[in-house]
Amino acid sequence: MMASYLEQLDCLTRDISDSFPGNDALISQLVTLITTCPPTFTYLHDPHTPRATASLVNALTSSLSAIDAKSFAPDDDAVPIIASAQVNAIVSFSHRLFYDTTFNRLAKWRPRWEDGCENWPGGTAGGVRYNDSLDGFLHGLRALQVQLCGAKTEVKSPRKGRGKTRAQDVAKVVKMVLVVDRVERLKESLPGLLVPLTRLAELSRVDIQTIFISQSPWEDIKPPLGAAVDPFHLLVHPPSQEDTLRILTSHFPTDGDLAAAPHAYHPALAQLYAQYANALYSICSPFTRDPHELAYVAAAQWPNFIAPVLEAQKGLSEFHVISEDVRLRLLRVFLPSFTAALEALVPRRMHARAWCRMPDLSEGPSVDEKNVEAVIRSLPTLQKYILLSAFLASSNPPRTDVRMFARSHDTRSKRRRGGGTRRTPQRSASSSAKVSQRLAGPTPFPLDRMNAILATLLEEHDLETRVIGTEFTQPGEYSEMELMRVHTSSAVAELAAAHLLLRVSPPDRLDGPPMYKCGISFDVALALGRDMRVPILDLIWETG
Amino acid sequence: MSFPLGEDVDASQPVIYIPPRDETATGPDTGDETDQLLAEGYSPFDERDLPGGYVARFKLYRAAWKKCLARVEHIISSLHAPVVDEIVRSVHRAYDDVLPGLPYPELPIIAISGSSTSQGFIANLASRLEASPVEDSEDEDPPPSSYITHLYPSDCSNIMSTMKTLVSGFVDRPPAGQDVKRKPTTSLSSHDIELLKVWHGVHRDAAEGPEPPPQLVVFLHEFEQFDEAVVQDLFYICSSYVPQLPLIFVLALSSPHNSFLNAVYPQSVLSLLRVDAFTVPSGTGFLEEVVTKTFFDLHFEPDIMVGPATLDFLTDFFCRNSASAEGVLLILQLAHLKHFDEPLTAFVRDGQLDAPIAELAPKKLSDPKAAAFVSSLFSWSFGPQKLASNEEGWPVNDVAGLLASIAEARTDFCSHLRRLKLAFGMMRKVYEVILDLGYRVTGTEMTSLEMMSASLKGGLAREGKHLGTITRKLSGEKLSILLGELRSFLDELPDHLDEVHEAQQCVTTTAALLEDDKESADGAQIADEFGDWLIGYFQEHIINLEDLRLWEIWHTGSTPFPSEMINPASRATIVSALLQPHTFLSLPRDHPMAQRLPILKLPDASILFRRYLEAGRMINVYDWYESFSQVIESQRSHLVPADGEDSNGHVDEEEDWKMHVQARFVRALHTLDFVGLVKHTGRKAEHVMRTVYDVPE
Repeated sequence: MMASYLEQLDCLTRDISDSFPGNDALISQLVTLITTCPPTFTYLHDPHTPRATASLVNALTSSLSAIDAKSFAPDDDAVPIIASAQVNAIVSFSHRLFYDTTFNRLAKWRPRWEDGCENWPGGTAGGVRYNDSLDGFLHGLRALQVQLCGAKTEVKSPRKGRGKTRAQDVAKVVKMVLVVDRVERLKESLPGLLVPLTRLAELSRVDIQTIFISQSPWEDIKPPLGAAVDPFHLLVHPPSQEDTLRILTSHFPTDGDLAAAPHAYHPALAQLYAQYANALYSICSPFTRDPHELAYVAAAQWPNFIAPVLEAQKGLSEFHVISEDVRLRLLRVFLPSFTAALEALVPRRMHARAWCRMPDLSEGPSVDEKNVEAVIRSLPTLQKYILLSAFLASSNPPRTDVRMFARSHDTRSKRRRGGGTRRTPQRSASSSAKVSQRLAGPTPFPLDRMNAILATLLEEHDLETRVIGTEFTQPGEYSEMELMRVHTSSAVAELAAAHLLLRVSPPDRLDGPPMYKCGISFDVALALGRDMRVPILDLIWETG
Repeated sequence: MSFPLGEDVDASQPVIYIPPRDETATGPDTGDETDQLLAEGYSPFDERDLPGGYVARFKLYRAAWKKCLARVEHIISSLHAPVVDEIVRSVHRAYDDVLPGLPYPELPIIAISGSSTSQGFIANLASRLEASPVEDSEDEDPPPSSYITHLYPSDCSNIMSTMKTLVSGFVDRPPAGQDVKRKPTTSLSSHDIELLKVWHGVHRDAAEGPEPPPQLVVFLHEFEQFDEAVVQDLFYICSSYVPQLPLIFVLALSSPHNSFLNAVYPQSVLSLLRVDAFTVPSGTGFLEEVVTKTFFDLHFEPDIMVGPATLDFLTDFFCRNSASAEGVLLILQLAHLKHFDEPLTAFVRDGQLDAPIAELAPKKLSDPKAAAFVSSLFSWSFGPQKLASNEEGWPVNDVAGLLASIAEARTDFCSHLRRLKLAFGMMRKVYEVILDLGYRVTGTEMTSLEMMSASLKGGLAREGKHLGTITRKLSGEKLSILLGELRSFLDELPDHLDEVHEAQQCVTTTAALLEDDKESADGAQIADEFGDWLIGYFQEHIINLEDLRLWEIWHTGSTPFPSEMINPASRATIVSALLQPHTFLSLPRDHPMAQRLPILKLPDASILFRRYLEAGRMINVYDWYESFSQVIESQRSHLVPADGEDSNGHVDEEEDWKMHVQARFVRALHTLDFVGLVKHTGRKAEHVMRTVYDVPE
């Protein structure tokens, strides 16, 4: 009987290894840990593929807890009842959610609408609340253990003639597993829970094992002053090339019906898919090795890749084998488009569905920069001027403003070209350490300064196009009035919302003018300047 | 001051600006003018208004604006319709149309750029989704029904409240007949997405046969304003529950910026999503369509015609400040409101003057109180030249005659306006066809919006002549293309109008002539004649509407648009109010026209502000107080002529007076502080900083 349990475990291990290739060692380790005498606190650190690992652990624990302990001999006390719960620290962002989710999953309780969506009611007849505090949580765990054992003894009771002691023996081996995913977030959302969870078995005095899964190492999460016990560490290694390819091919969505008419996911194409994945990996692996991202790109490209083959086999009721020659040619034609796909899909400028609908793959989608440019060109005129002045305010040092923008009758002729007199000797003194402003990125500026530059730009470039009322008599008065108008301020706010202007100061600070940074690049600003006929290059202090 | 706004005024408009009243226009007794304003409303031309004219005109305004609004909204929704259809389709297919082989299910997101500024669009979309799915003949599968929840940035300051709003938005509508009371402590909590899952489970079980389970559509309004961290968590949580929970997020983005999501959210979040981007139609093409179909379409006759000044402002504002549909509506509404300020507009629809029956209208005019109105009406109707040149005495002798003459002017105006619209439409058509034929039309750099505005001023003579000249040179073949296009253009117009018939006749005759002459291949003469006809036609009909009699009633003309109301300069207004308070406050009657008052007569805040302007960058508060108290002192001596001073209690009185001055100073200082003219710096004791410099007085 003992053997049968182990056999079942072996079988389970094999199944899970098949669906999560490349993790054999981890899986067998976990199975052993959970089914035998585990350390009460395990830390699973996976810096590369945490999502996949989380679903692996979930699959493993839920199938372990699905093993029916009843089917084994009652006297076999090595067969534990395993109750498991996997809780995601982001999804369960409050104490209440964390406790509710844990209990419902451990007890396999399904809330039903008709019952008013009641949670796991606890061992005793209702009225007891386990989700209000940590203390309640611990009591709940004990009640749960009693219930799990109790259920066991109840089931056994008809055959129980052999006495109570045996029933209690069985009751001893209820094992609970609590898996917490994305633990790094627990530190922010529920910091008080971190330490108790690490020593849960000790506090609740039930046989419970805690497994943390995280992308960050334990050292970053560890509470200070040694409050938590040290975990049993498990490290997940990045998948090797072989494993990644196995993962990729495992995503080929085929229904296995060989007799079906040719379609893009025909089982006969599985071999071609493997070759295709291999080619994809060899091209994309320098950029990303995340199996999910690679699988995403592969799925997006496949319908287009296979289209010529399907075209050739159109109207056939059965699939014809594709010759090696055709395969190689197909791959060679498709190689260049892989990089384009990677560039568009990994940053999600496009989603896979849209990508596979695109007619011409070799070009890729329109370049992002151009896209932004077109968008900016469609903005209202005033917002364009604001962007230009923000760009100037972000690129020029404030001390140069007077020289660049001061407009009085005597300086006008001097300043026109090149922006005043440059003191070259001073610059050369610090030139060794000086980084060009364009490379250093935009500098923050107060709104007032941008407004002043905006007024100059409007006065010089926009005034001709305006019809000015007779009430404006002084030079510059009209532009100054424009600055103070409601829609100018709202345009700034709108641009900040669209992240074309970046607000640097916190929004709740009332003291002093708000600080902004320019959100458009040099090239976009140049193009915008050309559009608006503003000589941007003449207005930048440092053109180099 | 309450301003009686009708129920057709959009309640969501953030600001209603009530302008300072013109002193010259106030009623005779300013004593209890607030009461009077409340009773009668704002009436700038009171002295020549009809008794009860304000109410009558307000009714007319409501009717006119309602008509115009309905038209504009209809045009806008028909412009939006294709995009709305597409979005609805993609919402319905969000979970059917999934690419096989993806590593994990993605959360469908629909990002609509430029839609925050157009609330109508989102409302339209939501109502389309919520409506029970219509049976489409093309689709065999009925589209799934949708439940909708709206999230606003103010509800979503943290993830807990966000999830609560999201979950309860759906769960508060319990499945039919299964409203179960949940216990607050031992049931699933209201911010638990598991609750939503249970709720949806009931719906899924209830859905029978081929009917797909309902979709859960979440609208995130003003998406840019949401906290990024909250939205990241929201998407993470929801993405871990798809596809069991068919959630679809619709994001209303205000910017026309499709890459907002890419710019703000990290790849780890984006990789959970499948973002479909849509853009709400906007831009000058949009405005052009709205204006053309509202004011230059023979199928629709608005009660009043907007003038070139309003059109120019509309175009300028749209291109320069904010390209939103709401802005267009607001400007048109304001133009309507302002137009009905004019007492004569009581005649916009008919001569009934809000009387219950038409026969009573002359009686209203015969009322002695209406004398000023009638005389102004008379002088507007018949200009001085006309009266002078008329040798047969008065053009009309009684009120009925006056009303008849107004009716005549109305018919005349409408007819001219129709001809203008028709001629303008033909001009645009000829222009388009000629461009299509490959001619270069020089000298017309005007955009079509500018052309519309010019046509209302009768200012398209040169363009008309140019087009006519090109037409004259057309070969027979090209001329027949042009005629064909013009005929189909004219055929689409309502055929009961005489104005259309006239043009139709000429085009048809020319076409027939051309047809006859085909063999002789001598189209040149016909083209010549037709070109001349076009020039004449354009010249005759594209006229300045302000030359017509009584145009003020139906046309806003070149009266300037009150742009200060749409785009005020708040700080400049505050400063000018402080400098010249009498233009904003009501004054005693003995100073009706005072331009600049001596400092004694100003309110405290203004006195303080005058002194503020004379100070340097920083103001010593004590000096400021001293100078203020001097003014107050002189005010006191001015007001209370010094008679026999009794020394009794003099000291006490002085003490009280000092307290009084201090209190007034502090209060005025706070007023200035409140409007942001004073900046406190810790740098120098007893000093505050100015925030306004160089104020032109």
